[in-house]
Amino acid sequence: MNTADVRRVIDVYGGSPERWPNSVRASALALCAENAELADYRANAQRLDRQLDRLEVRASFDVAALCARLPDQTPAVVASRWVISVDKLLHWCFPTDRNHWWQPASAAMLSVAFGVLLGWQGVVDLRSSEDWTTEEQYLFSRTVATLDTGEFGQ
Amino acid sequence: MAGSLADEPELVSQVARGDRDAFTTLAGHYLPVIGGYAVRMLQVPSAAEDVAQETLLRLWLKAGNYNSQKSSLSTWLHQIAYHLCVDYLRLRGRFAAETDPPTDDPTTHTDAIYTANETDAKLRQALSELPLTQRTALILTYYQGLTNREVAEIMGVSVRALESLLVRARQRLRRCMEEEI
Repeated sequence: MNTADVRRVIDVYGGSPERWPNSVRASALALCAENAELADYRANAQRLDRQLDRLEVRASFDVAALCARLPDQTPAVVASRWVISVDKLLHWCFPTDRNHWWQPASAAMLSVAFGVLLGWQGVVDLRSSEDWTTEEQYLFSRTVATLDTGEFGQ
Repeated sequence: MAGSLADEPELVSQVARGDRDAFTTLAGHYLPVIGGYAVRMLQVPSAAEDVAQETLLRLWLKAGNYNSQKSSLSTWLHQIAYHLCVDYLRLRGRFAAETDPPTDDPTTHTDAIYTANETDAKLRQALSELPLTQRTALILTYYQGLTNREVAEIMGVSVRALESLLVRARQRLRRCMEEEI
């Protein structure tokens, strides 16, 4: 370590040795003790440190007011509850115990019943917006005619 | 100085599970720490309180995202507060540029938040006039007791770049204070 290194340490960490890295403290202090110019440089930095130390903050902060602002639950808790609910539903639908065969059967029946109900209520319109009946009858008649005349495969 | 509580990762895990008592313990320790940092950065007490509360509120909301292997809780919270301060200062700068004359003079607030001492007025002024990165570097290392590595992580710069910021900050303060010290 040389004089420039010690100046760098003082510039970065200030003049108080307790703020210096442990690895350089002893050698930097030894150099300051030997070199009057360096000691003066450090004393200057220490004066600035003392000035900085005097700038204390007087503000106070209210923890109770902060706690009053908290939402009821953390998002992690809400998310984990949702995951647990889905997990429970899946376990009910696909039980490991064969005696509970009626559970997946009920789930399937419920799904079918729900689909029938939707169709019956007219929620799902299965009719196409275009009527292809005429085209289908024409194509069917052509196919039959082709088979009758023996043109098929020639 | 930031310091740390015993078994912070466990407390944060409890907060993630919605434990209000664990949160109160952490907030009791970190609200003044983050508040002190915000006051020094912003020099507007009401804004500093908002930043401190928002930082801790994010602890409540995002505790599940905290990784104790990656950084200490102090570093994580200071990083959130740092970004909130930068956002506030940018917004204030934009607002000040759009309005004429400026209505929010920081020097009117600093007397209220720092211990009253006339001889320190010049240093307060010099500190507030430091560029944002230099001021952040000095405040985080000197007042918040964070290591250079932690501060570099918070500011998203290399340790070498942080040290250059600290050198320039101190040189600038020394120049401003030459007559005083």
